[in-house]
Amino acid sequence: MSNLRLINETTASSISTLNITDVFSEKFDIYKITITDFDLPTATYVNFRLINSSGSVVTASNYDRAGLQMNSDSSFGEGRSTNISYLNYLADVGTGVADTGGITSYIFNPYSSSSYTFSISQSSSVRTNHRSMKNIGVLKQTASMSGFQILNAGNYTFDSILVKTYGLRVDS
Amino acid sequence: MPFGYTGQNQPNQTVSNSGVFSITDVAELQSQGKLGGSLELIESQSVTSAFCDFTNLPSNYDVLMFQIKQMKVTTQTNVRLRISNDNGSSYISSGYQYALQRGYPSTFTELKSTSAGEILLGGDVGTNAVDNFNAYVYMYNANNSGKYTFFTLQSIWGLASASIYSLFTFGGGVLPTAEIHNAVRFGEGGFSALSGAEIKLYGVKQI
Repeated sequence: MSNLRLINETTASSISTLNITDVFSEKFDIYKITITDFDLPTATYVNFRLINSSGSVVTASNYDRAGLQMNSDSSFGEGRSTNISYLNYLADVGTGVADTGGITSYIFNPYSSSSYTFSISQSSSVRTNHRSMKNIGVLKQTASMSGFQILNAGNYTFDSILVKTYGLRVDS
Repeated sequence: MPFGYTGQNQPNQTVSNSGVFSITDVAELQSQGKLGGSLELIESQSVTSAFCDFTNLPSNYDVLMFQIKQMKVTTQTNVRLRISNDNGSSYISSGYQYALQRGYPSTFTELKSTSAGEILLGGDVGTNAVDNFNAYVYMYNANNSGKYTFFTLQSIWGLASASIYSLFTFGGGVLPTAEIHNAVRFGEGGFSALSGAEIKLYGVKQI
């Protein structure tokens, strides 16, 4: 039996943000998130925020990020920001369901109230041509997080979205 | 309702444990996707002097993961993959796009194409015994006729003949044709059999 454990699978449509709540707990330190549908009506970036243990989306400017956008048709671009209000760009995606590829992220120590919450992510999608992204990010709050929010840079409505959350089990 | 294993002392489970699984417990946990692990081994392959082909890809996963180790080439070259829409009777040889960052201790390079015959995984891979290519490759939405088939990957290998003992790539690729793809072929150069490889295919569980 593998140590990867499915915790939550959520599908939704016609929403601009998707909140996945009550998935982080004391049972796991590391979480894996896969997003295999993020269909948007307008080309934009898919972003990520955390939700604290009170159920509130963390919108404070306490996130730092750095990433590399790899374009199949043009030069690659570095992106870096400090003290912004979302964790990182997960993907750069065009319009239409076929353009939505895959995102895999790992979240470290979200439930800990003594550690920052860190993430790494990698994605593949199409925006006119192929785009790959590799990102790191951190929420600089020593507070317990219970979930996360998927949003997009243009605040457009997702036509559909599919998110799965897994825990990496460690036997004590 | 609690679930449990006998002989276990409450390890980190997604559902609390105390007792033995009943048939009802098993059915309920299975319906929630919480019975067993979520990284499910589908197939293992070890090949010598051959392509490494995975056919009959399962249709019940959005996300598949290939774990590659000990991939060896016949001459210093790149390693690549192709996919099939006829379960491996033929492999598509045009129209791929990819974008990868390659790096080694002195140089970073952008590797990209919008009209490739394969999706590049990495290169140059050397032929020394210590040069083998190792990677995680994720495959997304291959079973969805309405979506393109995407890949992300992260790899490491060596080129000892140039005194380079670790090179990496990360990035991804796509075949921008919305159809079901049900087989994958790993090979080298442009495009021929590998010297060898050990590859495991996993499904990332969904409900």
